[in-house]
Amino acid sequence: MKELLKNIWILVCVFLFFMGISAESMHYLQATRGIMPTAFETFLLTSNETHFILFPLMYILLLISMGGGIGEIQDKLTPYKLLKNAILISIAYVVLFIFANTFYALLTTDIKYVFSNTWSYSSELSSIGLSPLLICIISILLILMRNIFCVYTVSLINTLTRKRHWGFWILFLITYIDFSFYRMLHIRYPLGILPIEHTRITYTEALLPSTYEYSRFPYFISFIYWILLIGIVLIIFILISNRRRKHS
Amino acid sequence: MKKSAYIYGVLNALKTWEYCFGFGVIIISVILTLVLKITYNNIEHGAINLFITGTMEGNVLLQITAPVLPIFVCINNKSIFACKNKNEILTFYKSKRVLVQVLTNVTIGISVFILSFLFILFAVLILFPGSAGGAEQQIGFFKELYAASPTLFIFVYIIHAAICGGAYALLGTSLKLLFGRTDIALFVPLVFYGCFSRIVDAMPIFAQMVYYITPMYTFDIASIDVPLEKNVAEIAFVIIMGLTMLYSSYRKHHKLLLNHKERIANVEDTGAF
Repeated sequence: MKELLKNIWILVCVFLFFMGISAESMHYLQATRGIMPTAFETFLLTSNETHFILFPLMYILLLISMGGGIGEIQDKLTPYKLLKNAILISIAYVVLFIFANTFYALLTTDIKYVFSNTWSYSSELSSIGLSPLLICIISILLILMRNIFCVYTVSLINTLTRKRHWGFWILFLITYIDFSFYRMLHIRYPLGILPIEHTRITYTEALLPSTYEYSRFPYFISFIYWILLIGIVLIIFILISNRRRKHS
Repeated sequence: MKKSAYIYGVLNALKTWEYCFGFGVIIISVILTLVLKITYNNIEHGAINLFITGTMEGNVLLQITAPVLPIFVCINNKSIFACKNKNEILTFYKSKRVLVQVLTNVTIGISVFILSFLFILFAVLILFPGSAGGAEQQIGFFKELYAASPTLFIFVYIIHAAICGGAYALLGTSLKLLFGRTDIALFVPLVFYGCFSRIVDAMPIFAQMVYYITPMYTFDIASIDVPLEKNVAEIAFVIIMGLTMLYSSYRKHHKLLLNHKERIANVEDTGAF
């Protein structure tokens, strides 16, 4: 985290990128729906869009992890310290995301209306039946957990290879699998195994479009999914560190 | 026979794990795309068609990693990227071989695309000889060239990918020389490629002004709504940025070297540092 604070320019760039993404979402909502969206709606449009999660948000995660010193070679294998670092980087990422989104909404929307906790248009998100704020909180938690998993896995690969930049390929791999898995294998309905399905708030379709028969599985399953993945990486980390300690 | 630094650098880079990995990523992504497309989409088995299908927009992994690959493959080249801090870069500047090393990195960045694409082309020519009809996917600004001569199109396509690779390798190397950090050199061009357009889009008037030079589709020659001049402008912008950073880095280190020489002269004259 100290490393990240030293690289203020990276934080500024990340903030600007998030602002740009928020602006794109807001312009999209204005153009297609003809409404002035609230900060919550803009945030949800960005955090729920597959294309945004897989590409610009992944690139920004790459940038912020780089600023947080994830590429540094660790002399000692300290799984818990690296997990703490991954959590802090992910929190910084999410906080910047929220700040940038709110800041842009404040700049462009009426202040009284910015934090309105009601839906200004009907969509897949509003049909869930929860308030925008509550859905935002769930979305923030899901993105946070996805980022913790990604950053922690990057740390694991970097530590295993003892080289700085191999771990970052895991982010490309996750993106590739998320984007292409169902499309390439021609799987009609989602199996609930992809990270993207557990990051988005709404149903993620596979090859066939969404129907009433198939809806998104409960959010607690997504939380369990992420906790399991992070747990698996942690266990691998502990096993490797114990093995290396024995050898040394 | 004594090899020149340039040839030695290029040959050495070809043997590194990073180069093999970069080469492998391209090959594997193309094979994966082709196998799945042939299995499920029943595409025509013509060499040229397969080559285009495998390397163009259907290949997501290649599209998203294209700006980082040319820099990644020269990262283990024992020259610029071996410098761990600014002092080592200054020492590197003293050796007066910066330009040769930059050219080496650009050549490595170019070579990864040329070699892998040629490998794929030869493989599909051997496995599926002959060209079968027109490509099923849309081919953007070179569609007339493709209609006239598919062979020439392939040649231009490989050259285009190589130039893009060279441009991003130049940008990455310049970033390393300017900031002294490998991670910046590796990922800033990628973030710039993937996210800069978002910032530009946030300011519509500004977006109109810089539409042509905003890197968005540099590697993608299959986009039907992107004109050729935009693609050329994007590549030119990346090259100009790389050269500008290289010059800034040279000026910065030149000043530091001069200061260092002055200080040494001062010590020799007065005995005070």
